[in-house]
Amino acid sequence: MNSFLRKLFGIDNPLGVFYGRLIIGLVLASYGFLIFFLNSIENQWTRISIAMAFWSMGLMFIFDARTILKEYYETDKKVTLPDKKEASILPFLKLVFLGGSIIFLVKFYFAQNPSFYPLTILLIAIILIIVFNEKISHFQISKDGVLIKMMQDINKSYSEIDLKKKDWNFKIEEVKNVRQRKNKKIL
Amino acid sequence: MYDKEKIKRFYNYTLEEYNSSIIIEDIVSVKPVEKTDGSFIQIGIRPLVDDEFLIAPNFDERLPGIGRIVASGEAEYLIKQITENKGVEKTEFKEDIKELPKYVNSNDIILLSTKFYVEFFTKLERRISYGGKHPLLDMGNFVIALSEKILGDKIIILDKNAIQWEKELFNNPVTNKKEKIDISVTPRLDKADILVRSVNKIRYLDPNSIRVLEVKK
Repeated sequence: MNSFLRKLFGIDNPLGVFYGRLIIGLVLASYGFLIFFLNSIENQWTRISIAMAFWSMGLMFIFDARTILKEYYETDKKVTLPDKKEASILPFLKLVFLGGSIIFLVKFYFAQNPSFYPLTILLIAIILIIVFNEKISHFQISKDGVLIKMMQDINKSYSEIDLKKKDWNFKIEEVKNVRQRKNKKIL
Repeated sequence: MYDKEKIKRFYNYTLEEYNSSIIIEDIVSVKPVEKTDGSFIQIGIRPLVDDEFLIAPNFDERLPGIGRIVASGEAEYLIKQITENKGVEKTEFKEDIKELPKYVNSNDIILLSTKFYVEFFTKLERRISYGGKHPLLDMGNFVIALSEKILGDKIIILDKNAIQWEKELFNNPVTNKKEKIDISVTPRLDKADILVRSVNKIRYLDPNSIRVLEVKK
């Protein structure tokens, strides 16, 4: 199941993840423009708020794709990229997304005869984001979890024997008696 | 009088545990020898334990950890010899752990402290392959993890032929073969005097093929 999901979401293929993210980002951001041509939304603020939500969502995916591409060049292609300190725009985009979504939902709640079409699209997009991020973070968490467990096992195994060293008179010393002891009496 | 079957099982268990825990053979070139001189080092334990475990049927004749302790002691001794050798280059490593491959030549072995275990395997995950006894970096370098208590803040990179290790072989009365550890049990009143040891010598150590990275963060 895990390997199927890994293939489905392209976890092991960074270029696949990059293209996936880029396409989703462009589709979402483009939909933000299409909102202005929807006759079913009459209120201008409703249009602007949902468009903001889609633009920010799309840009979040595009920036994520950029990070994945950068990582691909650094690790897979072993290209050393200039280590520029970049201010992350993601928190700002998240705020825009939240703000746009909230304004849209409030407008939607108070609208008379509202169209469910943009709301449905927005909800589907949010679910998609949650599913994508959840799956990816699930793998990250489980992978880190396995590594942490393996590290703990090595340390635990060493600690267990370390405790016994004193009881069992453990020594690293020069050989005093080269001859092997006989066991004939007991075997 | 000890139960002979229990003694045989004790011998087999100890030998099996040692052979499955031995790590030195993955790091250095090990040559078995039958004769030693006074310059060999013995690594082992000699506990005096109640002999009930070799007599009473309801007692377990195994002493878990008895083989592992010798195998781990060998690794500890090796690390001590490397780190205390004045000819071995010691470099401060202040970079990100993902830059580590820059310091590694093809077929080098990387001894990694568990302190950097998660970071190393996370940041270089796409360059690591699994499947064998140890993970492989870039399909060429074995990465062997050792406890932080042995390696501390260090990462050691070495060629397998940088060290020639000699190991004495011992007659084993149970397997009737030459084995890498000496196991013996001697009755002492109501106690059993147990000896489990390996006898080793570092015949040759080439400091130029070893690099110790001291990670500073």
